[in-house]
Amino acid sequence: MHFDLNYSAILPQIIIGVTLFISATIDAFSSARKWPVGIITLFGIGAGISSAVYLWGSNIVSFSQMVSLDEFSLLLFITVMIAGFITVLVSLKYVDDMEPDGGHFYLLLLSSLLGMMFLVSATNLIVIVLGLELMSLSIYPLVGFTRDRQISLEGAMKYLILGAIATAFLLYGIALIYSVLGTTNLYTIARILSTAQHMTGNLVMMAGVAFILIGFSFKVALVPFHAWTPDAYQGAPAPITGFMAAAVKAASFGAIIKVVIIVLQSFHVPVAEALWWLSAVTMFTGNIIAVMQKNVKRMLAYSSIAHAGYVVVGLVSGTAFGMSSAVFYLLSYTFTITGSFAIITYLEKNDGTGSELSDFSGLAKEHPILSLIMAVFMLSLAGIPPTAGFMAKLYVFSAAIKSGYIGLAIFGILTSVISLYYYLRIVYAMYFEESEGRTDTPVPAGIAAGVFIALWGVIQLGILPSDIMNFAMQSIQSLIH
Amino acid sequence: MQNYNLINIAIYAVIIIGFAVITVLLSALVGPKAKSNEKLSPYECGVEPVGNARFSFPVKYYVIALMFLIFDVEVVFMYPWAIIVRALGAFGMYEMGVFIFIVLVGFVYAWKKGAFEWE
Repeated sequence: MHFDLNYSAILPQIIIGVTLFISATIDAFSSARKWPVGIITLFGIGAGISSAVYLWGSNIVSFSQMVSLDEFSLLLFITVMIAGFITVLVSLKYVDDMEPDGGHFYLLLLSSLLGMMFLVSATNLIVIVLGLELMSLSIYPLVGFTRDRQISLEGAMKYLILGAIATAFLLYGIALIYSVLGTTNLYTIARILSTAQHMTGNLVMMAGVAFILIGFSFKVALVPFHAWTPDAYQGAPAPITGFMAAAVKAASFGAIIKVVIIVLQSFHVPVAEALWWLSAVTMFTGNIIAVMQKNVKRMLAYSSIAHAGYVVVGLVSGTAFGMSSAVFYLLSYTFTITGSFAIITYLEKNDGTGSELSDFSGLAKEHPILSLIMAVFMLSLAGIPPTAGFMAKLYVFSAAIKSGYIGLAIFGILTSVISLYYYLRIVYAMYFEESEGRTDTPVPAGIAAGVFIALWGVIQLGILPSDIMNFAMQSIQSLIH
Repeated sequence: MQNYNLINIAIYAVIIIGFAVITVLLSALVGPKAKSNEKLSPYECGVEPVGNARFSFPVKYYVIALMFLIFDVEVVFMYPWAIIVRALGAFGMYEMGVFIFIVLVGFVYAWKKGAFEWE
């Protein structure tokens, strides 16, 4: 019997999976403090990142064309694993403070990473659904991790129900496409579509594509599918909010980009128009509502909605450069948002308060370095040079202009001017407002390390973006055969 | 390309929905109405209903259901494997070993976390 099994095609996934087993065993046999489980998790994710770097340049399609290991999936592996690494670093003390027996935090985080990695490396719609579900089902309990906070459970419940609806949309879309083409393999779908011109305008096929787009739009929180985001992001523990904003978005966008590049290039439906509207509405709504928020976590939730809109601008342009700029945007946003939430984790108190705007007042006097770094992150989110956020926005908008979407680019730049207001309000609170007596605890080593890694990424991508952009270009080229 | 005849499904859907609506409407219109206290109770004869149906019951039942799922899924996978195990050879043995090991780790985890203690 012959089997199409090349295990190096899933080597990073195997490493994360084995780490999951080791961490689970250690968690089961260890005492109340769970930081050793976190340390093992850190080593595992570190090994995963190293393996992804080592495998760079390979192009393997295996397991009966179910998964592929190419530069695209590797770059997104690295993105989500960096998000996971920083999140675990930040959570080492947080988990032990929140839950007496909270080792499952790391296990759920690892299994969600595993799901994300299968999601971005899938070349079959069924594997995409499996990866998406493994990711989502691990994130729901993480949102409700602090189970004595009612707001946390409320967020988890809303996320669970709307996430289930999203999966239903996605599955129904896949079923419709299967009913027309008789296959779920992305490359086979692309081949059939490129030879069958009469498929253009097929209503069942259009409905299938639309349903898949809606399912993913729920996951990356594009307006009007964003209703769960503010509650889930505010209710979740601060490190998990950062992880959701960074990794869940990056992985879901990875799947969208893959489907758009492989399948929709040869299927002439007005996907670009649909994405145009989604992106414009998302950028506008996210930034406008964020202006009115008093809670920083909720504010960054709306800001993350707006950022999803900016990523879609890269998709709208439809060129290889536009897709690469979207991937670059995901990486830069990952560094910025995990770093910001590391600092919010430090400020968050055990009962879940401490993330109001007033809690940032006068932070600069007590923690000058931390405040400076927070200010850099806020400037990066707003898109001010020399940070990663500026370069990411520059690439995305220049790709849109090159493809002739000048109106969308101008609109995006205008909305990002609006966003400057609420990002700078945090900076203003830190530097120019009086503090209201804060109980001062030293910054834990894990949070400090996580913040510095994120800061390094933000500066590196802001000053020397061309190397990373080259990697992003290579990753997109690896999808176009 | 298969060309499915969607009109069959449409007729089927119309008949089903029509049947459901018509039966409910007919019984509401034609049926006799006697709104006595006895008639409005959930069970006309039998045990008297006590309390609310939406009460909380122990979360342990969910854990038991999850544990059942682990073993059930394991066995479901082992049946088809057992049929072709000779054809698969040593490779099949390794793969099933890995699979059982994965389930076993979950089992040990649940055991140490106290999933089997009722109190």
